[in-house]
Amino acid sequence: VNLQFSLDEFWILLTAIGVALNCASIGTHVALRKMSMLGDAMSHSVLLGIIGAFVLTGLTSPIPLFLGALFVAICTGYLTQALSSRTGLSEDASIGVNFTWMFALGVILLSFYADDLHLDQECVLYGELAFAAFHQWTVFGQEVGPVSLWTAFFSGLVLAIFLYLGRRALPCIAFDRNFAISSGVTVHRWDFLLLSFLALVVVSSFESVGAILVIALLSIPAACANLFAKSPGKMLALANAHAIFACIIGFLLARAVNGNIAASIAIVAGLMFIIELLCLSIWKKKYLASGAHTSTTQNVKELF
Amino acid sequence: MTALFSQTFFLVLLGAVLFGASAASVGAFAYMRKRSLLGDALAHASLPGITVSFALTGSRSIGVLLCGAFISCFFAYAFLEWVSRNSKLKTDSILAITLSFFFALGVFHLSFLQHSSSAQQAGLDKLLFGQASAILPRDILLLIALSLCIGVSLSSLYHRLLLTSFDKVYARTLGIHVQPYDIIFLALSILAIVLGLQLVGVVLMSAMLITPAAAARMWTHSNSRFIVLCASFGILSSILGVSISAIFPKMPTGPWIVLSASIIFFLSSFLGSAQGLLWTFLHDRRLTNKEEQENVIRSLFLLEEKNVNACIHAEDILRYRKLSRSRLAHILRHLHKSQFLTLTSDEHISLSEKGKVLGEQLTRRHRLVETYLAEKAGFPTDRVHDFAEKAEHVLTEGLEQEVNAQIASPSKDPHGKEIPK
Repeated sequence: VNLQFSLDEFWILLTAIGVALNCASIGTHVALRKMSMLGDAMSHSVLLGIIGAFVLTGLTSPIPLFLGALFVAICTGYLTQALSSRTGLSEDASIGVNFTWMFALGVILLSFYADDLHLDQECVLYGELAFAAFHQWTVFGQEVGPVSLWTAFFSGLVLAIFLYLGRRALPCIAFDRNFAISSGVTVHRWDFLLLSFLALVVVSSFESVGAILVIALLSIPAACANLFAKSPGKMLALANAHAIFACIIGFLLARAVNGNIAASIAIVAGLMFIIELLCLSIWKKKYLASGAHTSTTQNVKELF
Repeated sequence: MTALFSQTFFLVLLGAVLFGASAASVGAFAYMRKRSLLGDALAHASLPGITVSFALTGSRSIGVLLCGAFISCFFAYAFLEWVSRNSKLKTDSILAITLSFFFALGVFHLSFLQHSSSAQQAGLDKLLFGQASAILPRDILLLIALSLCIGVSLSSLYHRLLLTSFDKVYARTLGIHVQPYDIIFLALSILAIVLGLQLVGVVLMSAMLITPAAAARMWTHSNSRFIVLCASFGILSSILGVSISAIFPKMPTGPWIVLSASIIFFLSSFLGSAQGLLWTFLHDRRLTNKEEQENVIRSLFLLEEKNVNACIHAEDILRYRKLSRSRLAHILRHLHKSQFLTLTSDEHISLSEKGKVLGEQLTRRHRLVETYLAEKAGFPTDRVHDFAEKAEHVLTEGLEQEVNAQIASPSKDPHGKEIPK
């Protein structure tokens, strides 16, 4: 493997890692709350947010489009919950109904304005990580790195503060909601914040890595960590480690065969998950067969 | 407008209608199994099958590609089952993992094909978003035939599928082998998903399964009606979508079918007669009205009970009930119209015979519940009132007798007040 990176490749890798860390961190909490598919829904409805913002304001600069996408992503979360609580529709059906109409409307609007907006539906799904380095942020005439890397950095910074403040409240709500309410945790405020930060991460990530990798990075590292971790803190750390590892290996793989970088990272993450689960289940079978567990049961029996 | 009446248009329309109906009925069963989002995951998972079968055969015939998609959906389902059996991960995580992993495999392979081979694969990615206008007539015939297949299998296995979807344990006690039906159902859903790829594409396919079912749920709780409604909504949205894209040539068909289905859903969620918002709102309001009226009658009854010859004014009622003056006036007018009370010229209020009967009944129920709670349920005496205040409105004749029998027809309630007969 040729390990001589060009500067562009370095930026791409760094962007991927930045995005992956954001996704894995919020993904841990999202998985604990059983909301993973909401991330999927949000990453699709972003298309409507971008185009809607363009249609309403006529602006193509990134900030209004970003805000539009963020708004629609948060709305997706709320609409999904409101629909299922008000009409008794099951939660998953409510997710399925909402993101599809938003995506469909997005595609329809896109067919009108495709010439004005440099955006196509494929790009929303795949992302264009390979071009991330071409879009540099210029401060006082100095290029300081890709815009998407800085977006990931700033949203990561805010996210870190949020996760630090919620390090007790968030797991508490996830594991025992009623206990959290009775201990005086302001559950609704944390719900809103978690939803908003999920939206922030999805929106800030999807431009560079595409909707599918966002879902992969939200769900897979957290699931890997979930197999081993015994506490939310450890789960967070493990998920981040997995995310970084998947990015590096995935990037090298894509570079070696000249494939799509985002997809390759998702595949590596998926393979890691499969290998770990395979090892874990084999180990469990051996453990059960060796009778190691019977001694523990006997110990417990002796206690009584 | 000529496009509206061309032969191709009718062929596409027929294909879309049959597909819409069969996909929606499959979705109805998926909804009952609470596995709506499985369709989304499986639709995404079809991509690697399409790219691999293209790479292996070099053919772009839709039959070959759909075969590949079918196989990779099965793999995805097997993966899903394997993960859920071997880990404690939640369904949503597993779905997200399967979806993104398989789709990434497809995207990766696609990018690989695009870099390495000629422009042969052009059109492969059209399956992502569906392109109804590009469907060839022979492909539509395939679509029609397979949609009919799905419809026929669903209707011939209807009862068994229903049983195994709803209650697996009960189905087993009836001697039905559940697993074959699970597999049949899985095969039918994958077939529906794969068929939808050309028409609506990978991303929006799940809407064809979920949205009509969600809309139908708003109208009925009966299963047979539910499935018929699902199919009709599927048909209606297909007709709307195909017609719109035929009238306005720039419009994409798939998204319009999905958007039509969504509009039907939102209308249903508002107007639906089983769970719709409007209906629920009206129902709630009717209950509140009834409760308020009964409360006023009971206050009057209690006032008359205390002092038989009292002159009761609206003010006296307001001392007992939290009501605004205008609201109370409205309720009194209503009760007067339905002859529960009599109003004299100097605004004295008294219960009519009909009102007395109702007031007595309510009071009896209230005091019976209080006694029951204090004697049988071990409530402290000072806390029985609030509960009885609610229960008096919902107790039925039968329940009242039941409660009365349980506490052996007492004559006084815990506060020492007499229970009317």
